[in-house]
Amino acid sequence: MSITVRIPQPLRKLTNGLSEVSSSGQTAKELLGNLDQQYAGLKERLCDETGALRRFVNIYVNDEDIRFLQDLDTPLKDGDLVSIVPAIAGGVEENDPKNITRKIYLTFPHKQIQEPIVWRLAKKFDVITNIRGASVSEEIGLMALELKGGTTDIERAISYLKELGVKVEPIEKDVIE
Amino acid sequence: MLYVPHNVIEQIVALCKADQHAEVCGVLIGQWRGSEKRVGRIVHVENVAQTHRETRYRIDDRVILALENTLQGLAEEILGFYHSHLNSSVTPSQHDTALAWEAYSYLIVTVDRSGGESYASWVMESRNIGFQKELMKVIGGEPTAESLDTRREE
Repeated sequence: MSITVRIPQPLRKLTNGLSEVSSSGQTAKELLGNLDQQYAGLKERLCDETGALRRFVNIYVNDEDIRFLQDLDTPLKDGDLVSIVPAIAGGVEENDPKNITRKIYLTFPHKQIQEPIVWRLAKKFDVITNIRGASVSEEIGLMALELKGGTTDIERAISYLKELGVKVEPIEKDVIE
Repeated sequence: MLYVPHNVIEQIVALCKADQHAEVCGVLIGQWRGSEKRVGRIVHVENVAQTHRETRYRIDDRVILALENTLQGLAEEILGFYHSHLNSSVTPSQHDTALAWEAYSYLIVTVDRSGGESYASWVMESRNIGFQKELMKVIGGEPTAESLDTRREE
């Protein structure tokens, strides 16, 4: 029984530079075990401590993702082509803390004093704004503002403020609720 | 070190600027010798993230599978990937890091509201260390001989 396995570039340092290797196994799991015997360390790159496939790893048997077959129990037959395909994704983590409170001091430049910036902030970004203190004169505006929301939303809201020329200083560290 | 021809980086930046509502992404293709990667061309692909496409991207696994199949046995390799961050920084996010592969280049382009851009490439030599900025060199105003060769192979 021979199964051809395609190896992505980052793992080729474990396969002596080979982009394609031959192995065997009745199931995907057995194949990974055998591959690890041939090329030490390969399985650890693909599976976590529990033996499950890592999130950023896909395994395709011919043209099918094993997650939609029988996962690591997917049966294999002679001549199958197994591809290790990197999962490429990024962005905001699902489990990013969603309920952060950040307190900041804002110093508004003269030209922005008349602008309803806090209102815009709440409309534009998914943040709850709470003014904790303010002192506005014709020359300068100072405000202590509390922002509640997801980390990214808060970051974006702050970037927006900075873009408008508002000086942003933290009052204290984030509080995760 | 990541070598990117001037016209290729311009192409990537233009693609990133063209969408201000969703992150855009694609694949860097070229020649890979040791830690030296020379980008010859890109394959721009759809961001297939299902939600929050303004802060997330995902490249269809099948696109990568198909590319790997096409490139098998050729001199070209997938060197890494590019994606845009909208009004954010060129630093990888938590999720970028959690899902990253070692060795590939992750080029991040940021486009701000004023239309300005900045970019940086990141590489993770080991998961324990995490992402580090990769040295990047933009070469020539014209395509390099190598990238022209690559095109002839297509």
